[in-house]
Amino acid sequence: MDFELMKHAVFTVFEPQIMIYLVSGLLLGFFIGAVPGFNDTNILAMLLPFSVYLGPLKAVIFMMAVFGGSQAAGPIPAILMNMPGTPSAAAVCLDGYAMTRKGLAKKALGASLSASTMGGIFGAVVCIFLGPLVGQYALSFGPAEMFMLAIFGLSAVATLAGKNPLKGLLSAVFGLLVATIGMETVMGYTRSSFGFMELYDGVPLIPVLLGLFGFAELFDMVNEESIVERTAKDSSSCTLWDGIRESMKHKLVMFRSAVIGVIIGIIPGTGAAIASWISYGQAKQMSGHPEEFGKGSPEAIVAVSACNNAVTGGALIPTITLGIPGSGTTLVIMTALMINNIQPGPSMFNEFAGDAYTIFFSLLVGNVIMFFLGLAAFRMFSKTASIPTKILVPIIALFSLTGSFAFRELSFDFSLTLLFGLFGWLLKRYGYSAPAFLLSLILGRLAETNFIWAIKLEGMKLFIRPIVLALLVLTVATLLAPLLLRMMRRGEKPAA
Amino acid sequence: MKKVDRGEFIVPGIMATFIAAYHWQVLSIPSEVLLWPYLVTGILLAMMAATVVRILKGAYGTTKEWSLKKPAALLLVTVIYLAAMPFLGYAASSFLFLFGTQAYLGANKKIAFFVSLVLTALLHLVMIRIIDLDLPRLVTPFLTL
Repeated sequence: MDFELMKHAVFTVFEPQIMIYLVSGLLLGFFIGAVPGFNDTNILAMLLPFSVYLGPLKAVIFMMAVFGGSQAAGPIPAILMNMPGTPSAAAVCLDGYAMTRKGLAKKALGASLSASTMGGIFGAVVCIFLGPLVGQYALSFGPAEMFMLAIFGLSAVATLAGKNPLKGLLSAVFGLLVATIGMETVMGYTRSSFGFMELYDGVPLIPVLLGLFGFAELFDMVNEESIVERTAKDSSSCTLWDGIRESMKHKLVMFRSAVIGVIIGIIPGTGAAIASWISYGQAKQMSGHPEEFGKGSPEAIVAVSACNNAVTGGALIPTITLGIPGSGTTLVIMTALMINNIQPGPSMFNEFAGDAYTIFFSLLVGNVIMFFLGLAAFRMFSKTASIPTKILVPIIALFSLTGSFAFRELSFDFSLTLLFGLFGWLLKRYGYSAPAFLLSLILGRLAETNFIWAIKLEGMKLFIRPIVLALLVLTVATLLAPLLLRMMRRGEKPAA
Repeated sequence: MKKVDRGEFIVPGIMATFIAAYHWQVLSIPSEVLLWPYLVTGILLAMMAATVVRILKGAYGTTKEWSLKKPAALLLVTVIYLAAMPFLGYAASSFLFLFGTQAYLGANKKIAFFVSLVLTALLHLVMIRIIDLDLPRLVTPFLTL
């Protein structure tokens, strides 16, 4: 570790020109994150040609700021309108929107902003000090490990099942079947695309989640006068700072979620959507008040938001240190470096160590700036909750539909959003679990593809590997933890 | 015997229809690539059977009354909006959708008109002019919306 280079990197980040790109990237990221359907990967890909003129440092710092800003702002529409703009923000809907209905929108936004910042800072610190070392482990994840990771993620279903466990599990298994639609990756056969070319790549996530959460909610909202319940507290009585203070009460949850975010971020092919659900499940299993999850728990918002932004740092590690981009966004960032004749990979820390450290430090500084910009932006957005539903409902409908189109530019996705909106409404009405369905849809393909590959490559032998076994232990522990905790508490009561 | 809510059969019904349609479509595909779907379907059918048995026993009780008028109207207006979009273009149909729905739900017409106009203009500017999304457009001799 070269401390002289690190010092130089810190000074470089604070140069006015770099700061301008950092701040404008964050603002653009906030905008992308706050508007459902806007996808940071697509916008960054559009901006890619400009990286030639900007040079590697400014371009990558700008792109990283957009990435971080969009992750931090993703929860805004999720909290205020139950409309997740990204798959990773869907987990925030459960408790964020419940808090908004109780008149605690600002508190929820404050908790989310603060946890996002802390998660992002944690991710950046890991990048700076452990990046080159940790990156090597990303290569240890083969099909068996990826399969077990998906199963570990699916264990969160146990926490999402709601009041009717059977209906919750049924929703999850149905999600697994819907996830098999489209071309399977081993032999290239198309399974049940119902004759639609648009489903050859599988069921697209953005239109589905905008339907399941955003549009489904409208069918109930249309019968109410305001998003905020009549019995709710006066929304002016809470502020963003209440949420920030509340989030600081859950430091352990924040830390654990940030660690989950970094680890999942490092593994190529995963991402914030998977990490956020795993984090939500873990937080609920370990919480002293699991019954509050789903009803407006700030602890849940802290868990998801810290994890979401920690993924940003985690995802950067294999991109910079190994030259393996784990997601579409990091692929664009890597391309920006390559366009400027910098080859990311193990040699980057020998040939361009200064640039690598500057990028990592910009992530750290960017998160601090993001907090202060977020204070202003989140306060402005929080007013949305007070708009009457007779005005808000058509606006949310329009944004949900436009957002679903913006993802792939296919008119088919309009209908898909409407269809899943109706389906989500029925799921909710009859006590099924839309989040469990969505989680299975996200993880189903990952689980299937890697299960088949693992069996084809080495058979069941492949499942007897250290990381697989560790993940298996974690999965079992996650499922049994609530039972054990309950038994321990019961044992403590008589003594008390 | 407890009263059975017939609405409870809607979701299992949708799932059963989907399973039937899914497996009918993959009849000609080698079973090798259907290992996972078969496994999932087996579990799904078992769980559906258990759910239906519980519904028939009245274990889930009855759900509260539906208030379907406004949700049905919203669904209908959205379908009309999507059907009209290829002909009217994104901007014009979005304006009509916003204004019409707000007016139907009881919003002040002046406010509804202003909100619809500003939002449509904003979305048109961002989605069509700046990002250049391939949304349907209304081409007139004088301007393209």
